[in-house]
This record gives sequence, C-alpha cells and structure tokens, in this order.
Amino acid sequence: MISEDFSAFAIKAKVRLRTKMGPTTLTDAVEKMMRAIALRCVANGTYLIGHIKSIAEIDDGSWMASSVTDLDGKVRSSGGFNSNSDELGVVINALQYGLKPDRLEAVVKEVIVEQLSLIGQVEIEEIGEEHDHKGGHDRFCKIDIE
Amino acid sequence: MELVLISGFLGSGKTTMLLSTVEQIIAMTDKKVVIIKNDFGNVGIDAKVMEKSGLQVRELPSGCICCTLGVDFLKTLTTVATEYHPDLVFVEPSGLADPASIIILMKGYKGPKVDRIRVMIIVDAVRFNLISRAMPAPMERQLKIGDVIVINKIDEATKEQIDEVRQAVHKMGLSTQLILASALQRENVDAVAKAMVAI
Repeated sequence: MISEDFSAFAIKAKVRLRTKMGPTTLTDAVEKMMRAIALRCVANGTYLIGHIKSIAEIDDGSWMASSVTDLDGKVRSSGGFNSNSDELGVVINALQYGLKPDRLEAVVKEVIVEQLSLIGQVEIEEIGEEHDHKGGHDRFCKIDIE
Repeated sequence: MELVLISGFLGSGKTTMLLSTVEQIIAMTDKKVVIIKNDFGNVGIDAKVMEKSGLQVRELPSGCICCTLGVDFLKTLTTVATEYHPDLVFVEPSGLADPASIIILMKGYKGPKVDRIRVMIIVDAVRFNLISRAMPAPMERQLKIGDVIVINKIDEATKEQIDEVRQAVHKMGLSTQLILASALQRENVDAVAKAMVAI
C-alpha cells in the first residue's frame, strides 16, 4: 500500500423522479452532482482526489459510469442512458486525501441530497465503513473472466 | 500462463485501459484471458462497469491485494489458474497497491506454473505533477518497476504535462518503453494492447 492517509466513503442513492426524464437530463443531473461533490470536497480541504466514481442506472438497465479525479471537478463518463425514466439509482464511491472521514461523509451526503433533490425524491443508503485502508477487510476482490 | 500486472495510482485509467484493450488482445492472440481486479471499497464500481461491458464477473466477498495479499491473492490466482487454465492473467491491483509488493508476493505462489510476470504502469499525464508532489516515493517506485509505462489521458494533457512524465522517467535513468495513449478516447490503444502481450 502506497499511503494510508486518505479517507473514503461510499453511498447508494435512489431517486424517484418528479417526472419522466430523458437521457440528456439524467446525464446532466448525474454529472452535475459528481462535479459538485468534487468541488465541495476541494473547498473543504481535499488536496488530492484518488477518485470520485459513480455508476448510475435506470429502469431499462442502461447505465452511465462517471469519474472525477481532477481538482477542477472535470467529469469523465462512459456508457449512457437509452430511454426516459422515472427512477434513477446511483452508487457513489469517493476516496480522497485531505478531508477527515467524518467530514468527507458529511460533504458527500450533503451534496448528493442537495443535487438529487432537484430532480426528485431521494433515498440514501450508506454502504458500510470505508474510512481508511488499515482495516483491510472492507473491500472486495473481483475475478473478471472473459 | 503469463501474468501482467496493470498498476498505477487511483484514477490513472487502469480499468478503462483494460476495457479498451481486452477484446483486441483476445482477437489478436486467441488467448484465454482472465482479469483479477482488486477494487477498493465496499462498492466495486469498476467491476460493475466491467460486468455491464460484457465481461463475466465473479465477486469475492473479502480479501484485498494490498491488505490480505498473502492469502487471498495467491489463493485467487491459484483457483483461477486451476479452474480456467488461462493463457494470460491480467492483475489490476487497486490504485493504492504497491506493485513491487505483489512481485515479491509471487515468490510464494505454488499454483500452476507462471512463465512470465510483467508490469505495465499507467500514468495519468494530467495529474502526474500533482501526484508526484503529494507522494514522490511511491510514484518513483511505481515507475521503476514498470516494464512499460503508458502515459495516459494524452487527449487532455498538454505537451508540457506529457514532457514532464518523460523527463521524470529520464531523470530516474530508466530506459523503459513509453507509450502515449488515451484509454477513454481509444487513442493509440493498439500499441498498448500489443505491449500488454509482448512486453
């Protein structure tokens, strides 16, 4: 392990959208949220982003993965939504250097609720403790087979 | 069986690079390929992306290349080698892992024979300076252990940022092959794919 002085936090959000929304609106909403998380973290003391990643999915199974690594909040996305939807599910994972665990958690939650509430009713679910790397048992290994 | 370690700091584009090249590698070599991916955190977002991109994903509920390296990784590799008989295994550790420790760990591997272990380091050209300043020693260790270094995100990096990586490699006295690429834009990924199988 190259360093231990980071904090990480993961959360799931489910949004019941106010009206059916199209792919462009949904893409904008997710990317705007990702950018806002990054910028709010930086404003609060993050000096290096390991990653802020998300995967968002709608009813038809189409998905978009987004990532922010730059301090200016630039969002890179892949995949995309294929149809209109009245529901959006997002999983977000933030790992950064500078903010202490509790502060990171508060900032991420605050931004997610703030941003996603603009488009609908938000339910959030935390996904366990991910505050540091020392515990060593709070993560998965995957085998991906082609 | 050959093993290729795809290493690099968090956010350098390791998973995107693998996703951009794996199909091409299979088509090019007709080899059976397995990827062992080590995601940080309770949420394996990268693995979900891989699954949605058409790869079969088997998830192990515990273990980490960094932290429970000795047991889980070697067991996983042995299982993969025994059950799937791959020709080529890509190992993508988390961006927090020190690749040198994985090479050392492999000395304790007792499974089916590994003919060759090679290391590809993915560097984020845009953030190289920032990351090098924040953690100079780990960055230097990573670069020094690479058999090939991919300077990624060249679609976004300035010429100066790319030169900065080149100069750092040069200053370390390394003559490692450098490949300039953009995994996201699939720019020069052919060269990366070829390097992955022929480093």
